[in-house]
Amino acid sequence: MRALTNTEAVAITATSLGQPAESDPSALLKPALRRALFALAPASRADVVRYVAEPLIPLGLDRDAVETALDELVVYGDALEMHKGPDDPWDAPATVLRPAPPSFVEREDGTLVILGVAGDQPTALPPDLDQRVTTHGPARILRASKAEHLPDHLRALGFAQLSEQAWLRLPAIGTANAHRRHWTDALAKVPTSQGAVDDLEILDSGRPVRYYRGRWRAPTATTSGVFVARRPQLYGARLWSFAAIENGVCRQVLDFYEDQDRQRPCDIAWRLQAAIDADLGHPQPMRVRQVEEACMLDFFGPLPAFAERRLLLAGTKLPGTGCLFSFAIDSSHAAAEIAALERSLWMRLARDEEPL
Amino acid sequence: MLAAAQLQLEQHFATLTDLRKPIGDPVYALEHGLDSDAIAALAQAASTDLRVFGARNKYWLVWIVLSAEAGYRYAGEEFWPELEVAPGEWRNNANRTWLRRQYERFADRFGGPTPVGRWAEQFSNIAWPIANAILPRYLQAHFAEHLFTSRYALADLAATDAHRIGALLSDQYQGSSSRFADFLQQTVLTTQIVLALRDEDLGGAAPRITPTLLQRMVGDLEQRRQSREYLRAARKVISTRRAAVGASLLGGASGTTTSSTSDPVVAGPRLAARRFGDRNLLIGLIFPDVAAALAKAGLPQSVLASGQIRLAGIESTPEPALALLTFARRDRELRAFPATDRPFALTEGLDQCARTIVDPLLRLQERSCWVLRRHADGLFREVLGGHVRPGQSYVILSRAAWDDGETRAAGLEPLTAPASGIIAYALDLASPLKEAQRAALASLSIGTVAGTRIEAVGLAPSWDAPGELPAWCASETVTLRIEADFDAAGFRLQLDHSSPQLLPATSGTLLLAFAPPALGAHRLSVQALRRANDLGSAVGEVVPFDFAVAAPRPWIETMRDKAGFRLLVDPAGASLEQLFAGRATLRLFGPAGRAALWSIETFDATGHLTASIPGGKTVVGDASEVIATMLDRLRQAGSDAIDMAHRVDIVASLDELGRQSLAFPHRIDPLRWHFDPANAQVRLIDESAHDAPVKVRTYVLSTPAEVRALDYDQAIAGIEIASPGAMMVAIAAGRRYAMFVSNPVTMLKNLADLGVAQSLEIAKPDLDAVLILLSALLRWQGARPVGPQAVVRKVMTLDRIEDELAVRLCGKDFTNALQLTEPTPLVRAQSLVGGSPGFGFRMRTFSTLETAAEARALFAEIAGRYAIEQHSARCDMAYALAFNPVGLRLGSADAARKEIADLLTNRPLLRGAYLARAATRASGQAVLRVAS
Repeated sequence: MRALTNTEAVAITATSLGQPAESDPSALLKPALRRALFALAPASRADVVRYVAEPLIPLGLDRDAVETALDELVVYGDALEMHKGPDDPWDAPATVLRPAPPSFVEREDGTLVILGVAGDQPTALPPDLDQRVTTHGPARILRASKAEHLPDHLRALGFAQLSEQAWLRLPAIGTANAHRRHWTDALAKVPTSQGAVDDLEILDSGRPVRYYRGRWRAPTATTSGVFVARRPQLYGARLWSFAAIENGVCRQVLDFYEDQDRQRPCDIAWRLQAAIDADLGHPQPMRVRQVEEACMLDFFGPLPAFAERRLLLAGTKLPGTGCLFSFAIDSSHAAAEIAALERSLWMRLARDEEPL
Repeated sequence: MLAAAQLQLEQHFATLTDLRKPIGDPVYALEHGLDSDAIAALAQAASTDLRVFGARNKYWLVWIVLSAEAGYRYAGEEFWPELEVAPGEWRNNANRTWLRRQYERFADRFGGPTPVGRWAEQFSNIAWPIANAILPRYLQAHFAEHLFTSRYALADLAATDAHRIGALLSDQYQGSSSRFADFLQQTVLTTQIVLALRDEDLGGAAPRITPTLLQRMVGDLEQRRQSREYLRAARKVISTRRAAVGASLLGGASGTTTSSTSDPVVAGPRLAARRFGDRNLLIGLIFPDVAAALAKAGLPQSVLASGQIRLAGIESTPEPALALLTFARRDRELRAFPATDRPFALTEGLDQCARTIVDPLLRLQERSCWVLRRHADGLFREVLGGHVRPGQSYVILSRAAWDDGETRAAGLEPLTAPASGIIAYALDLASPLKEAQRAALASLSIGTVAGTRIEAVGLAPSWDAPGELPAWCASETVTLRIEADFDAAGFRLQLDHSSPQLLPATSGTLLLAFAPPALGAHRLSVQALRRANDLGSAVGEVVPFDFAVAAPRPWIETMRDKAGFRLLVDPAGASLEQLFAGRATLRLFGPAGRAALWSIETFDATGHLTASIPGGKTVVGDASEVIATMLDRLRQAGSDAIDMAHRVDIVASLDELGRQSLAFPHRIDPLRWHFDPANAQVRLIDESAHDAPVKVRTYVLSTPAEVRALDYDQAIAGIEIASPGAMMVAIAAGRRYAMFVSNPVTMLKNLADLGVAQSLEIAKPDLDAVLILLSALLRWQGARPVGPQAVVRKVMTLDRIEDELAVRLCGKDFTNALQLTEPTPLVRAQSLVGGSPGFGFRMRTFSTLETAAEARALFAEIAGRYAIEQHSARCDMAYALAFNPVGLRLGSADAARKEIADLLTNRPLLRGAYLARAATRASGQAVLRVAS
């Protein structure tokens, strides 16, 4: 037994989680969350966050960082959001988180995106392969050449191979106007509500598209129109919705639920907002910068999971500078990725000098 | 050359024996010290000698070494061809027996190993060379993986109780290779291998396995990438001596553990709760360990068999009292809070003894309020002392609502509890606790304890271990944060029975880590000190912290339970053949509407994948018929690979949810048939040690009850199977080993091709015919089907034999009347039963009962009441013939003849039994029609 300093406690925790002892404390979050997903599943999001955050807070990490890291695990497929199953325990909530099983996606260049949780172990990879895994933002990448035949080896170890198509789950492509109309028509069919919807928050399409957080506000007496919205529910996190508002009063509300393409409610909402913005003549921007050999794509609002996953196949996610986040992409792939974003999210390229 | 080699080997093994004997370690024949060229030359010379002179005692050690080498090369298919230079030179059974005698001699003279376990009994000749080959290559992949799976438990045991390593490996094996499970029964051998692998670098004077041989084995093991990685990871853990505590020293700590039978008192039920959102709460119950209570009272678990329980809130749906055994220490929702002094589960139908033990365990201990503390997994669990500590979160349950002012002062926030009859509050206690809040809590009879708190830091524990101790994985370092509610300059800490340690605190807090303790339960005892390093300044109570260290489990198994979908076979434990024959079904549970991709994977004896046959897609929620159709396509596509496989897995994949598989291993018998589809030839493989000659028989598919004798040598050499196929049977030591080979002339393209003209005509009296048909039925039932449509054709043959049996027992008119194509089938059959008309009516309206035993008893009771038959044994036999003739076990040939002869004198009884069967099947089909 020995007494520890905070730094030593971080180093020991990192080692237990299969990370280098000298890891930055924030590097512990995702391994700790994967461990939590296995230990608690099927579990509520709140329980997973608390399980990880409480023992890490004394070591200098905060709950918000844990929540953000969990979001990323869901986006990239380490954590799966599912409805409660008939065999789940009595105290599982209606929407549960489960760990994805160890799986991988093979990229065009032969490198592998490693996904999933290895039960109560930090990794399902043998030590020599694990040492070759690098973390790029939320993704774990195993550098490999085609000649190594690593997919065969990983399958023999029990990994499931996911096709790009299965992992990306790209939605059907259409025009922004058609997409907006699809949801507006669906909202129109919802019976008009007589009672007020408490604590509703709307995403104001009239506010600048380059400042995502600033676009959220409460409706006022003069607010009228249809809006992507969020509202509280009895159990669990706030719902993502599409709301028709008349003079500040919510008349119709359509809640988003996971669809057939397994898009999360927030993904559906973000894509709808992209369609609304494009249809209103101010499509959501992406900024392109050339940094040495790489092409840097800057984003100013969250992207649906399918778009983030697709970008991950071509590049690396980085914290944003003057934007929400960026992706560094090999220049040879940039044109194709930009075109895909223009098609699926109706985005447009912005120049550096454009005002906020 | 052979003489020189014999002499050299005599000296070599004698030297090894001198080294090993004093320490009791065996000498293995594979430790011969010869290189591969020498072995190859010896094999040629010995083969020539064998063909000229037969197996000669003067070269016995040469054959010992050559056969051990063959055992090492053995791929799990056939042993003797591995030993042969010229094909067939070891086919002679006398030579095989001679070789076994030489191994017994080797064990006597040099201390060679003696094979043990069921495999050694069944394969009593080849078990010797294989046991002397230490770890045959085909088992090496299994061994590496199992070593990896058990690495932490092995590391602990190697440090404390090394001789039990083999037993542990055998006990912990959960895999599907029966060959490897059998191998693990050689516990002395597997202990030696593990210790040799661990101690390889220590270079002792008398190594357990000679270093060159160990190096050779490790080299072979590492040839496969997967095995290499498993082996290296396992050796890393096993070679690192861990802080292990011997079993005898763990007594104190394990007093707090899961060992329910050693606890003086079985703990009662505990409340549990989980919060949702801001205000909502679900209440549950952690069930007591009823099995432990019964064991302490000396009562068998079967005392619960006759009873039922009704849980509070769902009284209208009783459950078997036996369910209490599976609930032990698990939590379940409490739909309604039991009224004061009422149990949460009512028992019915238990005898007085059982009730005395069980009933008190089904009551909550009545309290003024119940205090539940939140654990790291988010579940609130009842604090038996009913007190609260600063810095913790609680749920308080009370039968009556408290005054608003009092609850406000105590810091209680009202919650919405769904269970009726209870009021719930939330309590989040700050640290330090203010005196006013302490007093307010006290006025509500909630005690507060100030003292030392122990919390996880870095990594929270899990609650997966039985007994609900917080647990860390053996690969993790336990790190804790210890804090006192008063000024503390240090802490006195004691782990289990080790010496106490004093560690200083910083600002009243200590972050603590300890090296991974041994697997199992532990107790850390902590006491605050006013002055660091001064035992005399201890203050406050000694706080015990019970926790467990658990070995990591293979993720393929554990993640299966966490996946969002599940693949099951119904009935559980059904064989692959039953599944293919439509007598069992696959069931897929998961997110409705999702597409599942199916495949079949086949594995060889080494456990490596030999074929992956992709199948179709079904959607979760599809009817079992849709899955059966897909399975049939898969079976046809993979027919040859399935026939040859040592294990067949049926796999369902749901993209990101992963895969679920069901494994169906093939049992390998010492006497077995091998079918080569390329030349339609079947061959008998004989690895048994039989004193009496093996009898060989065949039954061609077109006349399935007609036996023909075959020559043993011809069967060993190979026999061509004529179309449409035949069943081959080998009989040795009273056991039958059968295979049915389906060999259609052309590839089957549709269902019409399945039809085979079969004749079951037996030109003999009914008694003889029934005995022949029963015997044929048993043989066909036990035959392993191989070849195109073999499963379907086997089922078809069994059905036809059963039909013919019914004709012989009941008469053709009666069985015709049973056909459902008749306008009023059962009514007409009833009129033909004979005996009392009431008996026929009761048979036509015979109802399906819960168990076969109950139905059989009812049948006998009706037969007796209507004076059809008073002998219950005869009734049972009539019932078995109608309902499950393949399950019928007749005694000797004479006894069977007499019993069947007696039965044939009572045709009404037999017809009644067949009518009852038809009635229950018709009602079952009606139920299915309604359900669909």
